[in-house]
Amino acid sequence: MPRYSDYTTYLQDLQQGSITCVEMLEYYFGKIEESKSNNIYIEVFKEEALAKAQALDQKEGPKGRLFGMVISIKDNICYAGKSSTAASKILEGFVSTYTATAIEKLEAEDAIIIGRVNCDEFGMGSASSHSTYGQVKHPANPAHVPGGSSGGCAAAVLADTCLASIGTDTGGSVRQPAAFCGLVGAKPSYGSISRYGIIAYASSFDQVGVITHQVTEAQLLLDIMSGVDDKDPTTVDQNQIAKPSFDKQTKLKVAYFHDAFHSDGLDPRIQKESLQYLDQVRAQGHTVEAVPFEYLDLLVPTYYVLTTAEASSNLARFDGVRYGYRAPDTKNLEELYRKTRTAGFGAEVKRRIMLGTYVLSASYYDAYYTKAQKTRRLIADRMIEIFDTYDCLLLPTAPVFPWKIGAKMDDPVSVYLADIFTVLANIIGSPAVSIPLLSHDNDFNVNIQILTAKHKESHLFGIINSLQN
Amino acid sequence: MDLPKMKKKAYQTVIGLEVHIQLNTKSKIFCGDSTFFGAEPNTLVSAISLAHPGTLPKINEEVIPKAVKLGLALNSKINPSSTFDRKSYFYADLPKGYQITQDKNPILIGGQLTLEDGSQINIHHVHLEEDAGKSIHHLAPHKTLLDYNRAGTPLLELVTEPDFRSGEQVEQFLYSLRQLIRYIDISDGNMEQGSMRCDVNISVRLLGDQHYNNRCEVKNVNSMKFAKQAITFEVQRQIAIMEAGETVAQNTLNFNPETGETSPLRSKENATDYRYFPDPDLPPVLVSHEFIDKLKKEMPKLPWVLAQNIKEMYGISKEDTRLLIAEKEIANYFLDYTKQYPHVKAFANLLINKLIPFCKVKKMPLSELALSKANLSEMLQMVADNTISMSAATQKLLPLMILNPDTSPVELAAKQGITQSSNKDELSTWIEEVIAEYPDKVKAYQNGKKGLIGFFMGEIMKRSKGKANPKETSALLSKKLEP
Repeated sequence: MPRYSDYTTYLQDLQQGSITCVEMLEYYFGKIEESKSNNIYIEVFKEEALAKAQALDQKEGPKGRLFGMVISIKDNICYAGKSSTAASKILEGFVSTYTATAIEKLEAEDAIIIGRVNCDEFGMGSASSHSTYGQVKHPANPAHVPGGSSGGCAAAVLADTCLASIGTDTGGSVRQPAAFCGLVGAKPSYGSISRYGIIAYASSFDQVGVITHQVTEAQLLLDIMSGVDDKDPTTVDQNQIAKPSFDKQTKLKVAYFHDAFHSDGLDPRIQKESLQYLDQVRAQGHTVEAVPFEYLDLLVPTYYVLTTAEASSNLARFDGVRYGYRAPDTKNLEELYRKTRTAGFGAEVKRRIMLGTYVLSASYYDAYYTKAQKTRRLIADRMIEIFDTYDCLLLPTAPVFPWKIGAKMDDPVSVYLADIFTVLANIIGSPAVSIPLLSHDNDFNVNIQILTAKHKESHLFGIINSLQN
Repeated sequence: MDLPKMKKKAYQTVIGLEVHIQLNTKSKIFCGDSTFFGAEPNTLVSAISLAHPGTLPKINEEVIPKAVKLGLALNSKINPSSTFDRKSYFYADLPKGYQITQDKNPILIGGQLTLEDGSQINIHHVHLEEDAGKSIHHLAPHKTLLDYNRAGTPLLELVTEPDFRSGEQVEQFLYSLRQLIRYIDISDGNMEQGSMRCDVNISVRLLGDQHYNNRCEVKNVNSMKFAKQAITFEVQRQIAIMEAGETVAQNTLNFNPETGETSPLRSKENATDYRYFPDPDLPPVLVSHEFIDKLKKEMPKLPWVLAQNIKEMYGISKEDTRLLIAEKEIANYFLDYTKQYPHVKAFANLLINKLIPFCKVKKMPLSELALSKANLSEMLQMVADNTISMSAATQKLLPLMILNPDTSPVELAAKQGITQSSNKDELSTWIEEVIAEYPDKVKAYQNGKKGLIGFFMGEIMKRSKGKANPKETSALLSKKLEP
């Protein structure tokens, strides 16, 4: 059991003086040492975090909304004076000159950033296997993967090395590892949190997300990080996420896709528990209805065509010219590019750059990229219709349980297909929260996802609050 | 290269231009870095200019009115919602590995510019984009040095239809375009510093043909003279190929200003696939009707409108008008004068023949000239009144006026004794002195050698130190010489 699994209890203890920020931090440092074999942390910001904790312990006057909360960040988030490498060799030695807007906002509310954690290279992966620093192991069952790409974030929270972790979610990268580790994973609407300082994978899909023990912490963190940022023109003004907007007595209209709960790829135990959950919601007096959705099989292809296209362009800047890794002994510019990028990128990243370059090339652009843009629009339009009638949509998070380390390495397509339920929220830009259903002691957990229309976060958290009662 | 002495057939040259115009904004198009020209290398480069991981572009709002003003001047359709695309290619001076540009949906669509020869050049479109950095190959052996100061400088790329039929037309177009962008204050138009650059697409076809033949694109043409040279060379080269019965290969060419020749840069087979796609980091550029109306009111008079006005109102020649509107500063100086003072035509001559050359030599702007328009007008009034001759005014009085800007020209002329005399007594004295001194010549004149009048006039001028009013003197002299 973690020392603290919620912020309220910890804050009370801080206020009563039974613990200090420094003691909390020392405790987490100890846990990081203990879980070293799980390969979670790439760098612990020991000095900076201690200095901040000491300053907070001395702080007089009003305190921030995250006072003393210890948070880890994914290695694809920039932090001034520290390396940010997106777990890639190509960013070896790169030191960021600035801090991501989202992290600046957390620090302004007195949070302590403890360090950066491992992930899949550039956020591309579902198991935290594709990292230049090696595989992240599931803290509860180290023979298994913790999910990905924010697997280090989920593992860091599960291993009790921090209270919360900030990851990124391009196609499920916080919700799926949250499911694999039995935690809460939340991704807000596209445009909710600034992407400034987030190393881009697919710009029209990427969002900052959080992994926590409790839904309330997820809500609090998203609320603080969200808002218009002058440095990111895709950010929008939206209602406060933390604002209570929901009457608990309200009876909800809940939608689900029949095929999603009865698909061949769905693990039988996940199916059983998910269907039981639908019944449980019905039993609470809410309306739960299957709605037709003809695009389920188009989700993964749409997602992969568009994200690889954007990735192939976003990753073009890593060329060995201005920063990061540069291959030695090259004779000319072309060789510099070729050798640097061949040695600097891992296999999965190269696969996606090649795919993206292919779908954007002149002869195939219309057949793939244009078509995928059209299906994205069709899917978004259909979802708007659904959310016009229903308060929320329920979906499984992952169709399978965490697999054994080393399995599926030579079958990328089956790994891609496992993203089927998480990519929808990124395709349409809606918020989605993945929450654990029941706790099983010696077994992996099952999570379910709740989605609402875009920019309805406060509504979404109200619904979860209502369903959890 | 040997060129055929005599062409077998009649050919027509077809030319289209792509002109890059560097906008004169203080900061770059997608970040706050300065666009100052001539700074130490790599001193105007933030994390955004260098494409550090995690950085994002944000449009500099200053570029939008500048683009719209060009659209208003060219009579283009102004796109209410234009979008940015990424153009991908690898080069060391391109930090992101792609250039942010507008491919599918540019800010200005269509438009025209009319040349001095009356022909109309249609504009295909004008789009916004960012400039790349600079690769410097000549400073260190076996090394390329990179300067990213220019990376992210805002550009407008103007693409014309293939409407040009000669190098002269291209030269006229570039002249008018440069004049225009300076008038509407969107660029300094300095071709030597690269603020205006030009790629020229050239093809040749048989006169009367309707289809276009393969074209060659000449890159890096950075002066109007070079554009004309490159076209002359390229047209002859292509005609020679066609005369030999071969087909011109579609190529991208480099222009060498030292030889005046073009040479292949890359062929179509090696053409890059730029993989354009919409930039997901940037929302559309929105331009409202209200915004356009506001800018319409702020638009200055365009050079061709001014030219028309000046010719019609003051009867000034086409050539002189061209000089008066060449630069906005000159035109404004001239027009300011016309609003308050008379003798406009004389002032135009004075401006063209004296004031502009004087400022050019001194390398100073007209506005810094220590001559008030009131004083200049007073001087021209004296000339009109025959109080002073034009040559005395420009050669003697003007330098004095520059040295004594606070003294009135009338006073200065009087003090220096350069006022013209029309006083009959004074004139008669000088005339009689001369008649007395040269009785032989007077006789010769009276006997029919009328040409001697010039000699007498010269002598009178000497005596009067140029003060004698020539018209009055000549009339009086003729009378006195009568036998």
